[in-house]
Amino acid sequence: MALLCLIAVLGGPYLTDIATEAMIYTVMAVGISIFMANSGIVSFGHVTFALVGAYASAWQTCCAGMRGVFMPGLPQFLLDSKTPVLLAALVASLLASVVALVSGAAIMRLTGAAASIALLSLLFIVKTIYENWDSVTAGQSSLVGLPLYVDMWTAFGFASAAIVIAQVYNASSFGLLLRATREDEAAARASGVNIWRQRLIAFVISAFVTGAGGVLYGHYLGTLAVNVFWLDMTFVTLAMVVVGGMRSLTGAVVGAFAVTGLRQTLLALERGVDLGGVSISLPSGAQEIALAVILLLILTFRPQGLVGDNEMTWFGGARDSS
Amino acid sequence: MLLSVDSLQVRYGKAPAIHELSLCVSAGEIVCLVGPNGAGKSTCMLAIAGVVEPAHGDIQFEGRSIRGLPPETIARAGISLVPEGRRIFGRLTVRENLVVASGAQGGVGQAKAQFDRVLALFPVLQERYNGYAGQLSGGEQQQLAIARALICKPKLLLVDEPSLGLAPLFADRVFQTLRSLREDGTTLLVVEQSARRALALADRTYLLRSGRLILDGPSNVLAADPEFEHAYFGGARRP
Repeated sequence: MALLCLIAVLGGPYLTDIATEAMIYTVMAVGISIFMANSGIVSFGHVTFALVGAYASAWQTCCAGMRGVFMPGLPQFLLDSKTPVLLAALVASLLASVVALVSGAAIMRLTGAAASIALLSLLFIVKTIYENWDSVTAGQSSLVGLPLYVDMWTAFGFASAAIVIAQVYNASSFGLLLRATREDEAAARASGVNIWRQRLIAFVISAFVTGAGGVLYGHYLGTLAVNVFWLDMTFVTLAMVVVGGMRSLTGAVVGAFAVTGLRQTLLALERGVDLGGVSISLPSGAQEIALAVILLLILTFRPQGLVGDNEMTWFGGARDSS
Repeated sequence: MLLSVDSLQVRYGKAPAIHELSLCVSAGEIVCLVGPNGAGKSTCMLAIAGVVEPAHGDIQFEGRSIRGLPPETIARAGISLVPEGRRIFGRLTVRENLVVASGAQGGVGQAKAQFDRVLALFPVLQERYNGYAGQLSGGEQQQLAIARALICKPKLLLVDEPSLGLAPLFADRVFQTLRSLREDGTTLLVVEQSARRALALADRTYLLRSGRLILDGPSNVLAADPEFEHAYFGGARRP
């Protein structure tokens, strides 16, 4: 992956941007995968944590002297805070974890499709709250002026950290116990596994990582709007996890890069390509349609995803997902 | 008395699966539940393991009521279930299957000794130790399911239809294993459709039909009872 970065450095600003975006999405996809890959529950609601993380970081670092203008409802200590960006990112991700702990305590009692839908409802609820909580989120207008500290190397650092967190979790006994519940719930319980507790642990860790992804996203774009963290992002991040391989951490990383690359290519085509003086462009929306088609093809012909259940080690050899 | 089930009644929705059932298991015994399809044998096992909740009656383990406790708590109390149809964790390795279940009991040092003991019982699992459980044959999977239940040193092992879907030769081996477990001091409650196998294995046997207890007694007595076959296949019990 370091190699890929070097290529991107030499490849000019456009490629650098794509690589940065891919790695920001990697953080989110890895976060989602920590929960999804091990629990087997498809989460339609993880973007919630990106939303919570992004705004929590903005509360601490946004907009220099204008913070009180955009978000007059913030408590005084936040209005005055000059938190360093990385500390703010940590605190923001922890807040996402807290939201996961509280909501997960209830949702993790559900199973299968019921859990997926409850997670989607969580996104609806939190998004609605943030959209209408004008005094601290600027409501439906955008926040402008987040410190732009996210470059390719920052994103790379975060992505690496996310992958390490996921690997440590996957190798832990918590990861193993949760995978057992994914394979057979009743048998896992009869083997003494407390499903609720194991799911909740994974949910909180995965919310932390996804929250960090949201923080990066905000500080990469420099502006925040609540409706960015909505169904489009849910679809794109889920597509990454599914395309790469729903039960594999490597799959989440591969999926994040594959889907970002594909989206950017299609976006470029939507803007138009000059072919001998004739400008050809795809109709706008082609990007979403193409992504949906590819998702369907993957689900039909390779439901285990591009990399299947395999994992890459740091040294490049394949090992099984144990 | 290790386990005593008193006036147990279980319903699925409104349909009663067990009308009223009382049975007991003493430490060191092998007890079998036999009966045709739909007799309520598996339901009884699931109720003891906490997977389904009884409508009435009580279940006591070592003198304490375990009725209504969640399955993970019951597993930790020392009752292990080998579920019907094996239900191993297919995409985990053999080792991982055992590690998952070993969390229910004991410290690390004790767990190591128990791993060695269980693997000695099932040499084939040792051979396939790091292979995926889903790639084992049916007989091997059944052995793994039993090994998984044994790994936390249960006081009572519940085995639900160990011969289901196995070739007779493999089924014989599984029953051989169950017998050797008892010699090691494990108490067993086994559900079995084949009355012949059950009577050959168990110290005592309960015959269930349509959710009711029909006959019970020491296996050698039941085996000699001409009444038994008749009761198994239906018809009123003659006075």
